[in-house]
Amino acid sequence: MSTVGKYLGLFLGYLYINAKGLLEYKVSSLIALFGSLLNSAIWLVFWWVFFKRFPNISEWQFVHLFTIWAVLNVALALVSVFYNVYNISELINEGKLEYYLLKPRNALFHLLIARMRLVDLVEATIWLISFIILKPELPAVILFLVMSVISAGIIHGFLLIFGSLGFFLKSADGIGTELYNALITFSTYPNWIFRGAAKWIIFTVIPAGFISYVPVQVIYNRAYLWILGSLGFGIVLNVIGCVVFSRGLKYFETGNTFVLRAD
Amino acid sequence: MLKSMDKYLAAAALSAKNYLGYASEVIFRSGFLVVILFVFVNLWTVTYSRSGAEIIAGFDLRQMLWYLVFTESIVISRPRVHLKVEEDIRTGTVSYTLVRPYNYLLFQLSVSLGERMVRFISTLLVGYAVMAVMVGPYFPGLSILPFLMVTVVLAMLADLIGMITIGFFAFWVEDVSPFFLVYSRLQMLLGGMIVPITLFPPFLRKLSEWLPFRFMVYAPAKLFVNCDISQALSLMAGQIFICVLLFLIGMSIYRMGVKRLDVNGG
Repeated sequence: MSTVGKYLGLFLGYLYINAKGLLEYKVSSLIALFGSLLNSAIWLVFWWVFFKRFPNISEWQFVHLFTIWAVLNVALALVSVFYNVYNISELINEGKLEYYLLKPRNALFHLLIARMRLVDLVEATIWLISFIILKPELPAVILFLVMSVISAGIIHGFLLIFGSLGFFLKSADGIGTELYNALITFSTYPNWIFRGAAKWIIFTVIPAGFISYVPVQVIYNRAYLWILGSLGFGIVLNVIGCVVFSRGLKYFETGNTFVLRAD
Repeated sequence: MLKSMDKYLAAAALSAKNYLGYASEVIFRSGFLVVILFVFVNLWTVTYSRSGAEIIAGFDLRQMLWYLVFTESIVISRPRVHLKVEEDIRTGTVSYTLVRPYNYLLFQLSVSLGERMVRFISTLLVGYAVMAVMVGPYFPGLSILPFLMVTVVLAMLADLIGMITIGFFAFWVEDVSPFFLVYSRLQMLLGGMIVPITLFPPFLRKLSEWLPFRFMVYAPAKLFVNCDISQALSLMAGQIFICVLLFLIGMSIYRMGVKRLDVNGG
């Protein structure tokens, strides 16, 4: 079997196991889905009230805000297929990495796919259907999907970098969590509210602009060049993340905590 | 009556004293509060500037921003008392409390209030520092401070009774988190945490006025920026009514739950 075939087989194997887990814990999965949808709904009501009160505040309308929430949620659902990207730092610090190092597969790929939160894909489907209802045009739907995948790549790369810093910094988990929360928070607000240095920050250190502003530009203004910009940025983040992880692996020393089977 | 309240006051004081040890941790873990306040400053500064309005929903820009500091501090300081109650019921621990000389609801209320007061003050300090740097300091009138303290305590009491009551649902269901989720999200919007309820269209505002959440978040935050003593008195009366009502509902649910309590083992 070719290398690609072996990795595909591994991925499908984990997909099967995680799908079975989803069916096993139906109620808790449904609760998680309900909670996430409810949270988004409350924020969308806020934005609906906001744009009803200030309809001419910017060229953006409620539909644009809905779009960034939809793109973000679909992107987060795609990241959830590699759910351990949220836990890299924890896996390193708690002696759970060794399990993956002993297997004859790429440790990073293996640990990323070992845990999936597939219920998020159900949520992604709901967001996609909502977007189609809101904007029933094929090019818009295709661009929506493209930008969601790219946004997922950016979020994944961001998490990979800060997670892999766990090899070097004990507090990487805390710093990464704070920055991730900032990324998600900034991503749910329109870019035009930010001024001065904040405008630069959301396209560099906390790349929320690529997840909120860019998809709206691409979907509504057909600014196709932004697709390449975002794609390039996402690839760079993931490459940096892989480099940090592999450098960290060389630096890594196993402790006396050894977990035989981890998440 | 007052004597019987001593034990609850002692429990609240002890809980606050215990939690003081973690106050610095609360302060250092306030990254999210800093981010959200930064976003709110940007959002509302742009909104006031572009709309050309000096007053929006009864607030000028500074009042709006300080209002949000206060609402965030109230909500973020909330301890997870509903989960503690759920655990007590699920593990059967609640049965041991039946023979103890205290009211279970009041005891949990005292302990969680003590913790919440420390968390609230720590969070408010961080929020105050952040907002003072961004928009300049704010000093509420001294005459309003005693009223403000009472309304904050009453707001927290009402919220905590609501949370404990949700915890009592564990007598019937395994996991109370979906109920709390609905409660917290309704409070977030209709309680006025993310935006004052005066900004709502009429039907949402009416809905908010019918629900108790505005007494838990909106009202004390409005008092903080408004400093209107005449409003404080009617607000406190409303809060006391809500506390008593929620307490009665909570106790009814608790009594119904205890009747069907079935604990195995020792």
